[in-house]
Amino acid sequence: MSAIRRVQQWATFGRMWYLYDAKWQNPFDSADKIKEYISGTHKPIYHPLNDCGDHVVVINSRHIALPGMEWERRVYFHHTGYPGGASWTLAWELHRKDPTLVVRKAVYSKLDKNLLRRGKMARLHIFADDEVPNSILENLSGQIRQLRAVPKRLDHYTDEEIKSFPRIFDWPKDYVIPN
Amino acid sequence: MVITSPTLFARSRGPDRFWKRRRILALSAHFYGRKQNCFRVAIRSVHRALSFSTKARALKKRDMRILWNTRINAGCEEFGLNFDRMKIVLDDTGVALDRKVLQNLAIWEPRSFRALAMLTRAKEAEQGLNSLQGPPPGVVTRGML
Amino acid sequence: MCLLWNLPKMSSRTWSLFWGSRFVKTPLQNGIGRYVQQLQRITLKFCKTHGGSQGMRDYIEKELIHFAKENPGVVVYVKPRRHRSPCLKAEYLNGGEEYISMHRLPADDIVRWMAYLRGRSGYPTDRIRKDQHTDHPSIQGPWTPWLHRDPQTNVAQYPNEDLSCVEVMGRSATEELREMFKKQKLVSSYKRSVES
Repeated sequence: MSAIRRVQQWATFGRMWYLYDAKWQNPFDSADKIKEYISGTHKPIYHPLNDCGDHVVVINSRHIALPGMEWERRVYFHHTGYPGGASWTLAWELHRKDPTLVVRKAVYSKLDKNLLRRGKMARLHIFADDEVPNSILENLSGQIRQLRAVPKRLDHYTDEEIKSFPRIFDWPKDYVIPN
Repeated sequence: MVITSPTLFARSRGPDRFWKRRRILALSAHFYGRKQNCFRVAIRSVHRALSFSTKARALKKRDMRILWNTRINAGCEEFGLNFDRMKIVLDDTGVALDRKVLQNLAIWEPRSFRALAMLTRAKEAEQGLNSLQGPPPGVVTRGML
Repeated sequence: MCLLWNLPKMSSRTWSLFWGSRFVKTPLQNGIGRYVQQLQRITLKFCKTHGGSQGMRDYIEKELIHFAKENPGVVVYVKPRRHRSPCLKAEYLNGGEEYISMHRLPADDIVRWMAYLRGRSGYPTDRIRKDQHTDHPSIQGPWTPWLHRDPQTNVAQYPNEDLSCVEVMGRSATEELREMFKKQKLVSSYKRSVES
C-alpha cells in the first residue's frame, strides 16, 4: 500500500469526537441520535463488522427535560439477585443520585443488544455540567445539533424586549397579577 | 486444477450407491465429527444445512437492502436530507440509480453523491418544500431557465 | 463440461473452504494492448497399443499438426510410453503446471481440452467472487468524515452555540404574528400621519 493510500485509509476510518449539549433536550429522543454516532450508522462506510463508531461527549446532562409526567412516573428497576432484592427508583430520585444516569441508561437501552454494546458505551462520555476536562475538549472535532430549541425563560428577557412585545389586550389599571 | 469428480460421476452408469452417497457427503465435507463421514448422520445435517441456505438466499437480499438504506441515509444526513425525500426527487427527475449504486457513490464517489443531494435540495426548494434559504448555489434546473 | 446439474447446490462459502476464491485478474494486464501467450509447453503422453489411448492417437494423427501450426509459441512434446493411460501436461509462463487425464476420451474432446489449456493463465482455477474488479475503485477519492463538512468547524471553539442550536426549517406562528403586527403598526401610523 502506497503512502497516499495509507493516509487515505486513516482519513476514511478516522475516529471523530462530537459534542452534544443535552440542555432542555428529551434524553430518549437524544439517545436515538447519539446511538447513530457511537455505532457508526451516520457514516456511509457503515458495516456491522466495521468498527467505525465515533465518540460522543454529552454535556449538561443535569439540565435534561423529560416529557410529560416522566420525572414522577418513570421507574428504573434493579434487582440485587437476593430474595427481596428488588428496588424501584423514580427518575427524579435517580437523577438526584447521579445526573448522568438517565442519559446513560437511555442510550444503553436504545443500542442493539449484542456483545458490541459495552464497547459502544465506552465511546459515550457524559458530564453533568458544561465543565469538560481539557484532555477531552481538545479531541472535539464537531458538534451534534440539538433536537429542539432551548426555551428562554421570561426573567432572562430584558425589560425593553418585554415592553416591545405586542399585546393582544391591556390589563385594567387596577388588575392585580397574582404571583 | 481441474475438478474431475463430475466427469467421473457422469461416467458411472446406472444407480450406484457409492456415488449417490458421495453426492451428499460432498456437501458435509466441512462438518465436524461423525456428521462429516457417516452417511446416516450426515444426511440429516445436510438437509438441515440446505434448508438454512435456502432461507439465507432471501435473507441475504433483505440484509443487503437494509445495509444500503442505512448507508444512503447516512450519506443524505450530511446534507440535511433523508433517503425518503431523495428517492422522490430522483424518481421525478428520472435519475434511475438503485440503492446499490447510490451507496457505492456515497462511499467511493462522494462528490457525485453530493451533486445528487444538491439536486434534491434544489428541486425541493422549487416546490417550496423544506427550505427557507431557497435552492443551494451551483444547481441549475429547467424550472430556473 | 459442468455436470453438476443434478447435485444439490453448495453455497459459495462452502465451496471456498476447499477450492478458494479470488477476484478477476489477468497476469501483468495481459490482453490490454498486447497479448503474451502464457502456455509455453504441452506434453501429450499416450500408449501406442492400449485402447484407452485410441482417442489420443487419433488426435495426434489428425489434429495435432493444426494446433502446432496455429500456435508457434507453444512447444509441443509427444511422449509415447507403454501400457499407461494418456494425459496432457501443460506448463505455463508463470511456472504453473496443469495435468489432465485423457483416459478413453475421443479426439473431439481432446481438441477442446487443448483449447482450454491454451487459453489458461497458469494460475489455479478458483471461484471468481465478482464478474468485475478494479484496483482503483475511486476516481474522486473515497469518502472521509471531513469531506462534506464546513471547514469552519475545524477552527471552531467547542462548545459552540451556533453549531449546537437546532436548524430552523420554518417560521413559528409567533413570528408570523409579530410580523403581521409590525406591518399593521406601519399602516396605522401612516394613516395617522395622513389624517393629521
